[in-house]
Formats: sequence, structure tokens, C-alpha cells
Amino acid sequence: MKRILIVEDDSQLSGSIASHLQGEGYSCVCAYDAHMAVKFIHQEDFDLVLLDINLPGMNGLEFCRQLRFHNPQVPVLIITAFGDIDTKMEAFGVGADDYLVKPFHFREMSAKVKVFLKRAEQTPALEEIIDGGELKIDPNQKTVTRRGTEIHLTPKEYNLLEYLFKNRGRIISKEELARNLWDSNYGVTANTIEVYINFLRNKIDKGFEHRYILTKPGFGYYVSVQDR
Amino acid sequence: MNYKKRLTFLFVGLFFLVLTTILSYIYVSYADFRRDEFFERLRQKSMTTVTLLVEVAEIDREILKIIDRNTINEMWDEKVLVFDEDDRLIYSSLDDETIPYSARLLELIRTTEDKFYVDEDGDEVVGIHYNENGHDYVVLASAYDQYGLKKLENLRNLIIVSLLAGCILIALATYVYIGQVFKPIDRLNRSIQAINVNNLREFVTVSQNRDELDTLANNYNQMLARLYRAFEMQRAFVRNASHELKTPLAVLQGKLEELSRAVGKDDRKAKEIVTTLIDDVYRQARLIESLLLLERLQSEVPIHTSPVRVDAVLDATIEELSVKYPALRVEMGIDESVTSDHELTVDANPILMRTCIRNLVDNAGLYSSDGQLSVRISHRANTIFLEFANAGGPELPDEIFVPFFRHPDEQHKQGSGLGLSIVAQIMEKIGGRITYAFADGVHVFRLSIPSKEF
Repeated sequence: MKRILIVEDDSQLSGSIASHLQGEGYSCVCAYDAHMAVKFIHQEDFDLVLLDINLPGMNGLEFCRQLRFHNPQVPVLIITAFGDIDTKMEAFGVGADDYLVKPFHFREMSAKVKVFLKRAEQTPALEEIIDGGELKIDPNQKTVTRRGTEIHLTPKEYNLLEYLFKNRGRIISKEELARNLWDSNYGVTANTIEVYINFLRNKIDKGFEHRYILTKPGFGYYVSVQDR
Repeated sequence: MNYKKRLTFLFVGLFFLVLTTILSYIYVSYADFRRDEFFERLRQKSMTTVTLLVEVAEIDREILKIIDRNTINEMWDEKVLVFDEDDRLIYSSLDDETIPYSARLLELIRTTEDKFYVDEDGDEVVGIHYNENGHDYVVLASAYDQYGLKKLENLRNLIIVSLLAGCILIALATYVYIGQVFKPIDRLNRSIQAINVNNLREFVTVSQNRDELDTLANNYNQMLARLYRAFEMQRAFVRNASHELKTPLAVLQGKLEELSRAVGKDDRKAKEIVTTLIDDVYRQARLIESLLLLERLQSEVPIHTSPVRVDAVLDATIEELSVKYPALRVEMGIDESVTSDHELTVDANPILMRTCIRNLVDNAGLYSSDGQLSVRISHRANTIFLEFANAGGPELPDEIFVPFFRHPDEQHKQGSGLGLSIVAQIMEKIGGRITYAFADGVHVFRLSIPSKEF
């Protein structure tokens, strides 16, 4: 049975959370302040920590920092009353994985707990690094390097590049890119694809002799991999 | 012009003024002295000539000329003229050259006083009246003070060169000296500049010299500490207010969820009431959150900013809200005017930027009549434009950006009436703005945000 540590100073709220999670088949331990929680984490290993920020004495962020030092892997879900900008930034800064803003739907909490437990459980099979000669794409880290220098891409730019490389050897139309990279109810104009291709070219091809992303006018784009 | 340059100019100006006054005084005094001395020599020369002429009665004029020419003190271009009481020239030291004169001049010398002047050739002339032992003569003697004037010219050149060299030297010395004086101030300044929103807790270095600058640094540090405390109090207020207002709601909501589970599936009425209550709790919580965000935006507490790609924020927000509005179809288009990713990057707080875009997508989700939202991104003159267009309902009044404004016909829909005013405030914080336009049944909200400079 998965063990969840709930660190929340309001006993009524932590009681409700615990009873809901127990109903879902988890075993819960409640700590009412950070010092108590520190004792618990030294006594046993938990599979997930639900952590309130505003705790008496040591606050949740400080506890999270200590917890990360003790156990860098355990998923931490922050429960915060302040959806305010500073706290959210700070929470991610100390290594929290996600946050829930009070009040939250218990089913939203259950869904997040489930996702993080599952993620922690399975170490996903490592995907092979895409080798395009000078250019390397690591689908596990979502990083791209050319001649060893990392190129910073937004998630959309990364997905586009990965898609082009995974389908190298054939011409890919703009429609295909729009269909596969954007949701069904989230459409993009053909020009948007051109803009993103242009961004990618600026980031990965500009200043280099070999051009990876080429256009077949009237048909679409294709990747030209360097001859070795 | 900075203080260093101003002080250097001031010093050089003062030095130039003082030195010019002193050197001019020296020059003028020397010139006066030379002229007086030369006139005196000319006067004595005249007296010697006239005395010889009168007292050695038998002296031959030719011999006198020879004596005049061979005096050891002979001056350059020296001439002597002697006139008798009838203004007749009775003696001239040179035959071919003469001194310009007039009867009136001779009369003046005879009746009033001796004359000293410079003639047209630049020669200095002395005119004296000799009236002794029954002789009444007027003597004009002239010469050019070659050596004296040469010396005067040398002195003038020396003064000009010293003045220029002095000014250059004093300018250099002052600049270096003032640079040294300002070094600790520059250091303090750099130290102050290094402090920004993100490191308010850092203090400027105090050198422990116990001088005025240390006092300034200490006072600055104290002010910084007060500022930090004020900001912290403001932040703590939002934090505590959130906690105190929202924890009871979370407890209430938790209990309602427990109740919802406890109520049998058949009791539809009870189930409906519990669901409505849970929704109400939510709405209340969102309202508190919006109000606290407005409070935070209106305060002077600095907000952390970083480079943010607006298209990436838009992507993430649309993905997040697709769960809430499964029927909403969004079409996103980036204009041809965008040629580089820099043109889609703004300097803003990423969470606030997301709040902005979420509020606008939320609006379309709630009010779009055909379930469509079109978002256009373009770039012009260092400004990024994001246009959110959706159909539905009549034109909105100007008050839409005022907090709590809700359209009378849309009161039944969710929303607190704070969304657009929050967007307007966030835009103001990052130097952008939001405008609203209505045409052909389509509402267009346009964000104009200055793009980040690279």
C-alpha cells in the first residue's frame, strides 16, 4: 500500500484529505507541523508528500528544502492558500513537483496523486538519442545540441524538431504538422507553421554550413541529415 | 554632464581666470616700465645734444652729428632735431631722415609740456622744451626700442605658452584628482545599482573608514532594510489573508465532498444541493484570489520578471483550459511580421503573463457564441500584439476594465467581473496595455506589450 505523508496544520482539513485518500486505497500519516513531519521522514520512507506552506514554526518551503536534501526523489505536492505569484515561484524553486490551491476538488487532488505515484513507480524506458550528425536530440531530457552546444527551444519548437527528425526521409506537409503537433480543437494557421520553421532554422542552422531543415516548395519540409 | 566633468571645467576655468589676470598684470607693468625707461633715455639724449649745441658755442654741427652717431649708447633708428625760437630747424642728426612734426606740435611743446608719443613708423618720440641761459629751443628725439620691444614680445609668447600648458596640466591633474575623490562614490553607486527586486536583502558594502560615504552607505542600508520590511509586510498580508480566508473554505469544501460521498446516489435533490454548494465555495475562493491579486498588483511591491515567450504561454494556457472548456475551439495564428523568436519574447512575470492570457481565454470560453476563439500574434515597432477575437453578444461598454463590472445580460454566467481589470493592471505593470474593439458582431481584445530588447 502506498504511504502518503500529509503535512497540514488544520486538523479538520487534513482529516478530510486523509479520509478521502484512504477511501482511494492509500495509507496516510498526518503531521500538524514541520517539526513533526521531519521526525516522520526520518523514521520511514513515504511515496508522496502533500505539504501545506503556511505551517506554524518552520514553514512548508523550508521543510521542502530539508526533505529534498534527505530524499530528492519523493514527489511533493504543495497545498497553498496563496495562489499568489511569489509563492508559486518559490515553491518550484525549492523543488516542489506541483501545487494545489485551496480549496481544491478532491478528485483533482486524487488525479495528481495518482499521476505522480505512477511516474515515480515506473522509470520510463529510455528513448534512444536521435543522432543527426552534428545535431543530437535527447527525447528523455528534451534537449537539443549542435556541435555540443545546447540550443534552447520552447516545448512547441522542440516537438516540431523531434517530429521532423523522427520522420526524416520523407516530406512532411504543413497540414500534417498542424494535425500532429496541435490538439484537435486547437488549430494553427499555415503561416504559424512557417514562423516556427523559421525560428528553428534560426536556432539550429544559422551560422552553420550544413542546413538540416529544407523546404520542398509546394509540398512541405524535410530533414537532410549530414553525410558522415 | 556629470559632476566629475563639471568640477574639472570649473577648476580649469578658475585657474585660467586667475592666471590670466596675474600674467596680464605682469605684462602690462613690464610694458609700462620699458616705455618709461626708453623715453627717459630719449630725453637724456635730447638734453645732451642740445647742451652740446648751446654750451659748446663753437661746435661744428658736422662734428656734433659724428658725436651723435658714435655714442656708445646709440639707439636703433635714432634721430634728433633741434628747433630755435622761430621753429626753424637748426640741427638734424641725419640728413636724409627726419621726424614728422608740425608747427602746432612744436608750439604745444613750447607752451604746455614735454611730449612722449609713438609716431606712425612705430618709433617712440620725445619732444622737450629747452629754455636756459636765454636759449629757447625745442628738441625732438626719436628711436626704435628694438631690444626692449623684442623682450616684450618674448614675454608675451612666454605668457601665452605658460597659460596654455598650465590649463592643460591643471585639467589633467584635476581630472585625476577628482577621479580619485569620486572613486568611493562610484563604488557605492555600483554597489547600489547591483541591488534590484531580486536581491533586496543584499546590502551595500561599508568600507569602515567612518567617513561621510560610510554614513551614506549605512543610511542607504537602513532605508533598504525598512523597504524590505515594508515589502515583506505587504507580502505577509496577502499570504495571511489568503490563508485565513481560504483554509476555512478548504475545510468546508472537504466536508462537503465527504457529505457528497455519504449522500446516497438516489437522493438526487441532496446531491444537487451539495454540488451547488461546492461550486459556490469555489467561486468564493476564486473571488478572494482575484481580489488579493489585484491588491498585490496595486501595491508597490516589486515583481520578479524574466524573459517570457508569449506563444509558449498561450500554448500552455490553451492546453490547461481545454479541460475546462472542451467545446471551445481555438485557432492560433502568428503573423508574417514575426521573423525571430525575440519578437515574441517579453520581459514579464511568467505567472502573471499566464494569468493574463488565461483570463482572456476564460472570457471567450464563457461568452463565445459559436465556441470559437481566434488568437493572432503580430509584431510591429518593438511591440507584440495579441488579439483575442470571438463572436457573441452586443458591444461591451467602456466599463469592462473596471473591477466588478459585469454585463447586465450575462449576470447568470460564472465569473467575478475581475478578470479584465486584472489583465489591465498586469499590462500596466509590464508597460503594455489592453484595448477593446467591436466590429461585425466580433469582440476583439488586443494586448500590446513591448518586446524584450536583446
